[in-house]
Amino acid sequence: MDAHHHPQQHVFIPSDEPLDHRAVALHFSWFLDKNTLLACLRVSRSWFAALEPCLWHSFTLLRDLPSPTLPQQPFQGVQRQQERTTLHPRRYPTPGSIQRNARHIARLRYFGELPFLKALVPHLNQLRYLEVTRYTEEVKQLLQQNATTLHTLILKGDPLIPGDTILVDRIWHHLLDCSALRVVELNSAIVSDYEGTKFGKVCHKLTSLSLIDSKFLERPKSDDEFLHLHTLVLERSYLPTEDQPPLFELCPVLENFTWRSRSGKLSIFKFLIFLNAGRGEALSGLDLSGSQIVDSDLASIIRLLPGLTRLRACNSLFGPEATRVVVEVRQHQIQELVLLECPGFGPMEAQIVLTACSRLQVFSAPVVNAMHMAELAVLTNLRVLRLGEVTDMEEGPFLLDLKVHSGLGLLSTLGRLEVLDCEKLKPVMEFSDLQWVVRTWRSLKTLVGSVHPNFEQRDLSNEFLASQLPGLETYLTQAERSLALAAR
Amino acid sequence: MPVILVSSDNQDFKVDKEVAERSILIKNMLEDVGESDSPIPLPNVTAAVLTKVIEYCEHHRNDPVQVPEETDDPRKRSNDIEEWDMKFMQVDQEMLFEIILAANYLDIKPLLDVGCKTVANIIKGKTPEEIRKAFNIVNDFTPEEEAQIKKENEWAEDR
Repeated sequence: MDAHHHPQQHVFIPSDEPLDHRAVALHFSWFLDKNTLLACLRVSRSWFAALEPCLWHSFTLLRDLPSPTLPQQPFQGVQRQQERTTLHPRRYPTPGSIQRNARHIARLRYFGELPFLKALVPHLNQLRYLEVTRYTEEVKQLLQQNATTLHTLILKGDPLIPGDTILVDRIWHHLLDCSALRVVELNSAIVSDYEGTKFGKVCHKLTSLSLIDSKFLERPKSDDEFLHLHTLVLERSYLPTEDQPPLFELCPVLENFTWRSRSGKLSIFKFLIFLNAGRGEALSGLDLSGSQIVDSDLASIIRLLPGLTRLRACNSLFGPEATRVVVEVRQHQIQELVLLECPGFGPMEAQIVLTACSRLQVFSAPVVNAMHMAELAVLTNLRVLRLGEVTDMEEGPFLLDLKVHSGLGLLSTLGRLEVLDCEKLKPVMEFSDLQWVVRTWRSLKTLVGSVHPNFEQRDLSNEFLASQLPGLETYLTQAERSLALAAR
Repeated sequence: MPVILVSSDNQDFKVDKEVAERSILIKNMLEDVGESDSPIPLPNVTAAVLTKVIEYCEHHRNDPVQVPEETDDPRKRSNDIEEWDMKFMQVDQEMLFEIILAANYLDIKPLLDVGCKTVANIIKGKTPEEIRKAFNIVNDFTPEEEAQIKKENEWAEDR
């Protein structure tokens, strides 16, 4: 990787060389797990120089929690007892290491109120990505220091402190000064009723805005449309209705729209008018889960979205009418369809969708079961398969006979399968079936649930799969998987 | 519509415009230059390497151009190399590194990815000594220095 080892080859214009090496080293580091990267640092001086900054590119600082699983040691002395009861300290970089390297941090995730943060903050002026849980005053300092580089800002309240909210009013003028800011996500935030103008000014430069579990006493005020906003997520957030147009009306280039709101109803009527005026042409991803939209309105919406490829409508009344529109006009483009807890989407609708929509990569519905193997088999692009609950069962878990000789063999066509979720519908498989899985589904990367209902066999089965499929991650539940992903 | 690329050792390569434009550097150059059909000099790439790069671009000429989202975590997997790409990357180490550097210079991200993944797979799970052996690298650290680096970076280890 270093030109010193190839003395005859003159590859670079000398003035570009240092930058080229740095960019390549960083790109390369993204394909290494942490421990391999650490081993690379010790290979030679030039490898150390090239790769040490890469170690610091993404930095995560999370709250320590007391370790619940320390073993009981009955005969240890007092000192050991003290160790057992104190928090497990996370090992931190040395001050010298921070001096040398903290300036390379481009992506930072941290939990506020950690003492160590104060040592880091003065060195941070190259941040592009900042994700903060539990707001502290350091946020203002970081926004100031990184005003020209910060691209993404995610603020979250502390989940362990009920009612922990972020008063965004404190940082509006810092956000206005962040010239490179394009993506903002606010969780558990409050915006006061006199900050609409500043909010609007910030929205003008954004490409993505997500408002989750938040309360906006005033919506972003603007005379003009938000010409860059292509992603808008409104999840369980309160926006005042007033006489202002709904937010989506100000977004002519919207590609992804999520409305998952418990309080406040999406004005379907206004949304349909918006789409009818041809404003939904760029919209390819739509998530209306939990919005209680009726079947006929969903049908109208899908019909008005020529670019639709991803649709989520969990907990809605998606039913026969919407299904008909999907298979009649969107069957060659729809790639993702997630319809969990839709009482109107039954086995017949599932069968119709599976037969018609050949480009499906992600399909989640409550009624996928053994009857659908032949239909599933044609979805050669399927990347995510989530086996759902059978709705007329009184007791769970429902066991799905998923053996090679009873239908599984048909799914050898799913060569791109990456995620198998069988948390809700437990497959009964034998060892030969597991061997089939490791031979056939080589792309499988995530398994949620277990491929054996028997408790003792479960861990052995999952371990076998993980040992045979490099990179496979196994989780018992979706909740476990979400936690693990958040901790990364 | 052919384009002529000239390697650092002055060899001409005639390539379809669509293939050449897999390189964002070349694509931008062509946009700047407009209708002119003068050859494009590539002083940073030798003929041997350019041959391989063109072979890759020809094979992948119809691939969709992927624009990664800035917000995404840049860390990626390396265990998903296509079979053709794997065979393509079966070259000696020197050529492997030259391809990576050329892909970076020419801004051909998928080729850069494949090159990096290939090297990553060679060194995955290896100790520093094993990595040195794999690439014929001389250890210029003292044992104390090496130990200090290990200690200083304990905080980053995956537990």
